Amino acid sequence: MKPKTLPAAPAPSRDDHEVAFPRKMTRAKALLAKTNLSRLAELMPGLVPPRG
Amino acid sequence: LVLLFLAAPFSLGPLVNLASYPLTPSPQRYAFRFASEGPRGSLAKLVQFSLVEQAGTIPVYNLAFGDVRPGHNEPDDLAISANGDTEKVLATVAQAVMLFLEAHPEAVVFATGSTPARTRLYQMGLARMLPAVQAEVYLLGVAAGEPEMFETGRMRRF
Repeated sequence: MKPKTLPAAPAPSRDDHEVAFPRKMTRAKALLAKTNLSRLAELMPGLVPPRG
Repeated sequence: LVLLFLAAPFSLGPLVNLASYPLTPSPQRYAFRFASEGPRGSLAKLVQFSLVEQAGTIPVYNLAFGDVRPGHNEPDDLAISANGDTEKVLATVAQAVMLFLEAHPEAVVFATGSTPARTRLYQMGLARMLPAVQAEVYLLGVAAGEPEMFETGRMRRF
């Protein structure tokens, strides 16, 4: 009996796993550190909770 | 500096009617590539979403966008393309945001310009697309470190 073949997983992508803009990430982290992120959930009700 | 947060797509409606370039997504839609076409030829562009912060249960992704130049490993987010298609490029980036949020509905996207001039450019472009954008996503600005609903005509200074 021929073994069942599973659909191929998407090929690993550099775009999905590597940070292409490290300088922007550093800047974003610094800016977000000065932002009151606890208000996000309050201002955007209905955000879907994380999966899993 | 203007900071923006976008989250929770309600629909893929008016934004798809704006002129934009076809996007090539990576398998998990954390990155999108497209080509800008204009007087300076075909310029390869990359839009990337990278996890930058976890706000409680909400993952915050940084939106980065720039030119992919041949022979360079790292895209250049300071390149001045001058390819005469700014609005079409911005509409394409907006579409990438929508497609990212569609694949990752729990995410919040954080965006700011890489320079003050670029931030102003993005803000003007966003103002023109605002009805379409606000019909589809939550859009927040930040004033003095406090996120609030985005309004046109008010510079949001960090």
